[in-house]
Amino acid sequence: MQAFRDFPVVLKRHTRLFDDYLRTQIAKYTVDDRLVDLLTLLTIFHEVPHTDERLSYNVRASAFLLPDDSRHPLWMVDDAGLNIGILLFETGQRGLTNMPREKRRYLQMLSRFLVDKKRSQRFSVDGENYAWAALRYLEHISSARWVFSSDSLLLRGR
Amino acid sequence: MPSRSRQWPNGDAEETQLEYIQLLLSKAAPLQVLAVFLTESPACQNLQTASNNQALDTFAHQINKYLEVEVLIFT
Repeated sequence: MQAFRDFPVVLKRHTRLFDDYLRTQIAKYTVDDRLVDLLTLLTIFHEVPHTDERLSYNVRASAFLLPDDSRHPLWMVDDAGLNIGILLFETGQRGLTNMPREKRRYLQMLSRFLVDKKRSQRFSVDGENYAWAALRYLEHISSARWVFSSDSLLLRGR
Repeated sequence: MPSRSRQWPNGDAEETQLEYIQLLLSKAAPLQVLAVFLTESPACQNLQTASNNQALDTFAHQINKYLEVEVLIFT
C-alpha cells in the first residue's frame, strides 16, 4: 500500500488544477449578465421540486436567458466553455430522467463547484447573484410575449 | 445537437414562474434583495409599465412579505 501513501497530495494537486481550469472557463461567463444568471440558475437546478414538470420549467428558465439565435456570441461563449446552456436545454427537451447519467452528474458537479466558495473563489454564486437573477428574470417574464399555438406548444415572441 | 428553437412541450403557469423567482429570492439575504432592487430602479420603472401586471402585483406582494417591509417602488 506504499503507492497510495501520497494520495492526499496527489488528489489535492489534481483538484487544484481542475478547479483552476473551471475558474478559467467560468471567467468567460462574466462578460454578460445573462451568462452570469445562467450560472446562478444552474445552482438551484436540483432544488426545484423534482417533478418533471417543475424541473423542465427550471431548465427552460435557464435556456430562455440566452438569445434565440444559436449563432449569437453568447451561445458561442457557452459552446466554447462549459456547455451549460445546451445541456439544460437538452434536459428540458428530453426530461431529466431521460438524460444520460454522466450529463446529469456533470451539471451537478458544476452546481456544487459554484456554491463552494473555497473552490470557485471570486466566481462563487452568492446572495447578490440570486437577487440579480430574480430581478432580471422578473424583467424577462414581464417583457416576453407568450403565444399559445393550436397544439399547445408555447412559443415566445417579441 | 438538438434544435434550439424556442418550442416547449408544455406551457408554464404564471404561479410556477413566480415560485421560481421566490426560490431565487429565498437564497439571498433580504438586504441584498432590497439593495439590488433599489440599485436597478430604471428596471423597476420598466416593470411598473410591463404588460404582465398580474405577475408583477403578485411578485410585489411576495417580495413585500419576504422582506417584511413595504417596497415603495412597486406602489
